[in-house]
Amino acid sequence: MKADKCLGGERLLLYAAGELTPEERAEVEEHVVSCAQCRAAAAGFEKLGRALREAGRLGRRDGGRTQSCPEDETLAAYADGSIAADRRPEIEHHLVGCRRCLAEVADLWRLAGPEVEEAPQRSVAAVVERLERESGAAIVRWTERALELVRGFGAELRAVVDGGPALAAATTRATPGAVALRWESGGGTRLEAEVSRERGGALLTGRVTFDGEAATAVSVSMRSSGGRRGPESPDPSGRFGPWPLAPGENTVSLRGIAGGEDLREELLLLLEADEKQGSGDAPAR
Amino acid sequence: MTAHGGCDPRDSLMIDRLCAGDSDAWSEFIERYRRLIYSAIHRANGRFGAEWDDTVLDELFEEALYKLLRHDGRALRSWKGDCKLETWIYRIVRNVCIDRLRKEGRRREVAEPDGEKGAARSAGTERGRGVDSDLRISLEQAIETALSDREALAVKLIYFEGFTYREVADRMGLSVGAMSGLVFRALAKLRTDGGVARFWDES
Repeated sequence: MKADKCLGGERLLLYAAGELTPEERAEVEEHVVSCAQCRAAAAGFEKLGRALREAGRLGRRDGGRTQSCPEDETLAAYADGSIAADRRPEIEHHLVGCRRCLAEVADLWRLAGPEVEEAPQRSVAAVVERLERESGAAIVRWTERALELVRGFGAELRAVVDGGPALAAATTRATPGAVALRWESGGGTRLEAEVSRERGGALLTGRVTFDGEAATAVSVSMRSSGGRRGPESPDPSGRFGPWPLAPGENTVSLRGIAGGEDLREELLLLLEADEKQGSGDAPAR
Repeated sequence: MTAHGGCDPRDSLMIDRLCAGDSDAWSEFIERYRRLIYSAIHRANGRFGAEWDDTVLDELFEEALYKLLRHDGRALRSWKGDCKLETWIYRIVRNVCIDRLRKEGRRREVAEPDGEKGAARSAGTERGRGVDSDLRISLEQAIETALSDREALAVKLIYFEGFTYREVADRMGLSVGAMSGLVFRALAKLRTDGGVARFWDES
């Protein structure tokens, strides 16, 4: 660049805005040192730029929605380029006059980017625990058949709900020494189970209300990490039952299951959803 | 099943399963988007000039993930698929961060872009110098009345929202040269606009 040749206004604008590379910037500075006209032009751009930034800083970004504001998703679609080309002009026209929406688009641009930060596992676990506590839905998991509730008694709760899309919701509550689960299918089957700590063991009481829609049997099992085993079960997995379910309310009780100071047992309640299931010991009523 | 037209059908299917209470879908969602959410929160920290520490960033992450998944993914259920799912998640993250600023009694700011900006921009960001409310109002009016929509949008994105010329050029599908030409013409119009001409002093 020749020092005696005046610079274009656009270059001076980029210089004033700090948008040039160091090399380009050095070239411009070499010229403006000796050119009063370009120096004044750059100063003028800088002054207006400063005024514009200050005006932008002072303006409110967080005003409320107006009737003319696009829907949230329309604005988001503009921000990520998903919006149809023929809709861009109307959105841009709105953005010029609506600081709230302009700020939202600008924020979405700034927030988008590469996944460079690893989320802490403890935070993920905390959220899952909170969701489980509030809705119970997080502990519901579908597989092909049957309802299975596994509870580390006095410790963590995990429930696996099998049986197809009819079995849709479960809620749990837990208090020190006792847990309860209430579960309803979409079609009338309802199960309530409570586990409470007793001296030297635990008591599980299950009530199943059944309308013939899906579930046909319930069984209970217990796994222990070292405590004494409760009543003998013919099943190697420690399962008791299954007991067939009759229409109406069914109650299943097991008393005197393993205990100990360090209770690590898992109680497992299995609600069979297979229509062919049903033989086994009679439920305790 | 929700329509979710135009988006990745895998996302659509996952969200439908998630909203139906399928915890496998919950796990899939968390695994796929946890890093995206956490990274966005870090960027929001810079964008809003919040200077949150790691503890707060973790809390914000938990709040954002919770709001996305609570009530069987209600916040995700309202996503129709017109925008990308990532963008919908960014909206939730943004709202969580702005709520946090409000709770802290702070006004959201827009930090200046990173990078080497030189003395000109540094001088331009000094606060509280010579811009009164009359000028602010005059400038906004001049931008909205004297400029075309594209000129006004470019000026506002660069000078109000802190984007670089290159960033705005990329977003608006222009070269940097075309963008500088657009803004140059815009500033030239502002120079002759009666309301703000007094501030265009080259002397």
